[in-house]
Amino acid sequence: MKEALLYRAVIVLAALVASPAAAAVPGAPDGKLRVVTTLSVLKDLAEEIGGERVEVQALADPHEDPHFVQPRPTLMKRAREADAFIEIGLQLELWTENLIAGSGNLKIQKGQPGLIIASTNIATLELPQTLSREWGDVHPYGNPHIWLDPLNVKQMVENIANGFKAIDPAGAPYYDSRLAAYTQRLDEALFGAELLREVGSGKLTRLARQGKLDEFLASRHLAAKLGGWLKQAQAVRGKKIVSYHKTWIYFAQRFGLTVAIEIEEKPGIEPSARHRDRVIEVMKAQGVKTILIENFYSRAAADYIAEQTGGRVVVVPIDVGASAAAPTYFRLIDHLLASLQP
Amino acid sequence: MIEEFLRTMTYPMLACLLLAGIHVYLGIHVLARKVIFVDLALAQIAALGAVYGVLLGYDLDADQWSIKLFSLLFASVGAVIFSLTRMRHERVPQEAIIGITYAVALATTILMTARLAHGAEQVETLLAGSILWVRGSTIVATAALYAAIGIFHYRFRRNFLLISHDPLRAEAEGVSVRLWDFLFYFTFGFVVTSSVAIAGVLLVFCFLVIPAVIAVLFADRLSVRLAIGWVVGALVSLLGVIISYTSDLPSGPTIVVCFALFLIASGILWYVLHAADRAVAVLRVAAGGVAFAAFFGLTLLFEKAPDRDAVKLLASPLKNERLLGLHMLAADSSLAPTALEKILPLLNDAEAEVRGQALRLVIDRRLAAALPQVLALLDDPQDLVREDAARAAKILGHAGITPQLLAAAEREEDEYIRVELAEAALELGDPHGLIVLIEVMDNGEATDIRKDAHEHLSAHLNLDFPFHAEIAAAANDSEIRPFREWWEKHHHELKWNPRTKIFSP
Repeated sequence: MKEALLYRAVIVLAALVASPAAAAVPGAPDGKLRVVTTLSVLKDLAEEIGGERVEVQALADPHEDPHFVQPRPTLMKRAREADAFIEIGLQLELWTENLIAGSGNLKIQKGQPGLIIASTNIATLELPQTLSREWGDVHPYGNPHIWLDPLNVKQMVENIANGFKAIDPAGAPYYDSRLAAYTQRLDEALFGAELLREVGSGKLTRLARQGKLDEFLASRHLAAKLGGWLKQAQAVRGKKIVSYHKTWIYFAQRFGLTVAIEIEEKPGIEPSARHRDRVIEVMKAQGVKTILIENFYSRAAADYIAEQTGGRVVVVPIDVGASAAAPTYFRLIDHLLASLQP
Repeated sequence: MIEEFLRTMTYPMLACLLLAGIHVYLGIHVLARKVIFVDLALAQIAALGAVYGVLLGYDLDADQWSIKLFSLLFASVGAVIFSLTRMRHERVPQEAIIGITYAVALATTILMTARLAHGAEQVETLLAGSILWVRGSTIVATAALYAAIGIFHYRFRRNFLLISHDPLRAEAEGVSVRLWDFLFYFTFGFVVTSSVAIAGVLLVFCFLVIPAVIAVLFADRLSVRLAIGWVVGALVSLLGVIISYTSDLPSGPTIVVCFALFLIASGILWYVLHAADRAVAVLRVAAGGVAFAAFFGLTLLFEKAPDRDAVKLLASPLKNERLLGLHMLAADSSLAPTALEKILPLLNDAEAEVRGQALRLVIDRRLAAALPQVLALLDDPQDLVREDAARAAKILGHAGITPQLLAAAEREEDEYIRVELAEAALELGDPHGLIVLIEVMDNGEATDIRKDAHEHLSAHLNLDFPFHAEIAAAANDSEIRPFREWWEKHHHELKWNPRTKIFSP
């Protein structure tokens, strides 16, 4: 008797868990894939790859800190109805785990093709190099602000295309052609069309990843052919900046900036007095004049330090749509590079 | 050292003195009225006012004064609420009203920020300043404000003290309790909103309550209480600032903990002084101290030792731990090759980054045992890995593997990697790498790769046929023809000079 009751309970529970997924109509009424992304930059990329076959919505407001998003009923509703859910991963979005589990949408659970992790196969920086408890919990999977390096975006769009192909095999040729076109645009924007013709995307990407691009271009007498963002970035090459949060390491690595020191001693922890003074000291000693701060952080600390050092506070967006100057990923990088120009 | 300390910590210290000055006095009132958490509630109401101002279109940075005005307006509404809800016979304790007000104000703040473009973060920082970022101008302005409120309270000290300590008598004497309650909470709101903006909720709460508690423990007269509170507030917070500076800890929390430790010490002192038998009391305190130390000493036994074994990490299910294991092995240059062979399984790892790192370690340490897996990696989906695999094969390989290298070159999509593979075959003495290079010179898509292939060819062959890489692949047949004809004629009879690495007929 008892066992039969238990059995029934299990069935009811299973039905409860499965029902929202079963009730959801696969795809939007017009046959498009319903895609939900965490950040707006992922929405931009998903639309570039998915084109007319997808309908994309971003959950986080680009003005918010992407680490912390307040749960709202619409977020749950969108997650429940999604055919695909795209996130950066690497624990950037600390809020998606509960959202995905709570949505009851079986298509986007961990391990399902509908859950697309954009950071797959991207070599992250700042992986903990020692097993220290002090640091180990801060970035256990490496720094998650990967999209500020266009080379990482090439891998991200590939991951998104692979995800779309897995849940919508009929669209595979369509996604592939859009992926190729977008990658080509990214390559041209980064390296310049001329250098791309001379050397080719694969080699340039590998060299840039290994930090050997300059050396290669000099040895092959190709330096004059460099164009695009990397050419623009030459004006700010070697420039030292101070940032608030550890957001900029990928961007800095790609475009040759040096982050002299962060105002936050450890991500999310109030700095000590000595760290505050170290920031000021480092800025004075190294002649750092630029303090880069994301538009969702308070300016108090940056303003204090700018006042003490005669530096300049530059408030910038890090997500697509966070500022009128950055409606797309391309314009976001354009805008960031322009903001840094002297 | 002292000079540097003064230069960098003067503002926080001045801020501490300022906060101690007014909060100790207000704290004695707060304790008498039993409204311990009223500062949190008023600060939250003030934050709600700021958010409301932002919703009406004012900017947190640009319109600071308008925003402050909204905060104060809301704080005065809070003052009205608290003065109206003080009941003569306390059917509902005022602390309940304060708690409810706090919760509702917080919830409303969250609801309003949900509709705000700049989100909760800015409001949060508005609420919780850090004493480290306080500026000289703020200190001067705040000092002026506190002085004005202090003078006001001093001028009407009789009424303020009466309504806090003995409202019934105040009423009997014809003092309007509601009016003076309102004035008290209104001025209190002024102080709290500005002090929270400087030091954050946590620190302000401690400044308000802890020195006042110690003062009330040891004295009955207001003037003595004030003196004790001020001395304690000033000295302990300065001690906190110094400790925070010397041990490099966040200032606010350090000051809070200093206050707490001082409170515990004062409590023990009070207990011993007031005990019937002081010797017994001292013994009890000592026993308590021993029990406390023993408890925490025992918990230390359960400290979890970090897993520092690199080889164990290599088998971790987490990518970052496997990478960490590789990193630790790479850093240990004394490791024997046999110990390094533990990394071989990682050459087949599911994560490209792990395969790449393992491969780099194989190249750096010239780990010959890895050769079979290196050859398998020539077909890796990641081009970075394939490129390194070609290099590894060149370093670790022998003449027997060149057919595999050439077959891989045939399959390879990336022309640069194809050239690397041909180069590896040539370095290992197989002339068939030459025809791969000639193919790339003929059909290579990028200008630079045609040039590169030609350079590699010239390094292994003394031929002086002209070749111009800048001529497009479609148009260079006439230049390529002599190379192809030469290959057709001589490839059976080429001899390899292992010293110069040059092939000749």
